[in-house]
Amino acid sequence: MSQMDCIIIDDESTARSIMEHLVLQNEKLKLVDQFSDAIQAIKFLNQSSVSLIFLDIHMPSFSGFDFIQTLKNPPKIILTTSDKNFAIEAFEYDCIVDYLVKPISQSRFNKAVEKAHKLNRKPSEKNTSQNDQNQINELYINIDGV
Amino acid sequence: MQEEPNLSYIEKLADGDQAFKNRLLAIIKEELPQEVASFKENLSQRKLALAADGVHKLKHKISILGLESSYAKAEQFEEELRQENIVGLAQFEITLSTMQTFIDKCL
Repeated sequence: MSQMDCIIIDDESTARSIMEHLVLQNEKLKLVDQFSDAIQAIKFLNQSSVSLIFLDIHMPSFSGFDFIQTLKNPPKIILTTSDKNFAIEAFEYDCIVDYLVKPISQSRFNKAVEKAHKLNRKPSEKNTSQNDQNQINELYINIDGV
Repeated sequence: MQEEPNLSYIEKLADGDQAFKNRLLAIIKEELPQEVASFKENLSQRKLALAADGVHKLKHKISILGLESSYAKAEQFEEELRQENIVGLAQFEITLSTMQTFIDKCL
């Protein structure tokens, strides 16, 4: 199974520790790094790429939304927050796949990862499935014609 | 009556992983007084927007410790602070003190 490389961005140590635990319990994820502020994460992303970011919205001086706007080609992002009120704004961004309200349970976390994993499937994998489907259709037509 | 904190969320999350549970409690024990001090500092300097940000951050720990009713009050207090109102301060300080006492007993 292909794993998604991910990072965690949250200014609160407690939250990072919980997110790290949630990530480590999910076999679809590989934790690459974690950051206490968005600036450090931007520096990291200038050198490396990841498939998924767990991003806290409410951080001092540089919010999660400010961070997203600095990214030219953002990966998939799952927002984490203590505040339900940002949900509408969150879905204005195509890269945001889900919105987790703290405290986050393992089951809710896994559901969000599953969404990201499905969206992260490479186009070639999707095309392969489509080709397989076409071949099945062609086979069906040939048999029908005999 | 002040509700009592509990470890339900942490225990469910840890799922028997005692090392993780202790590590998380140690982090909360270290971080909570720092966040409380920062909140009080901002409050004493009448930097109420920053104090509200502090309450926002503390809400996560309130929820982790299962204080549902206190969480709702903290949410209201955060909003009050953004309107430059500190009516909910006394109740919020009781919540902070209850959390600190509980965490100190846990470790």
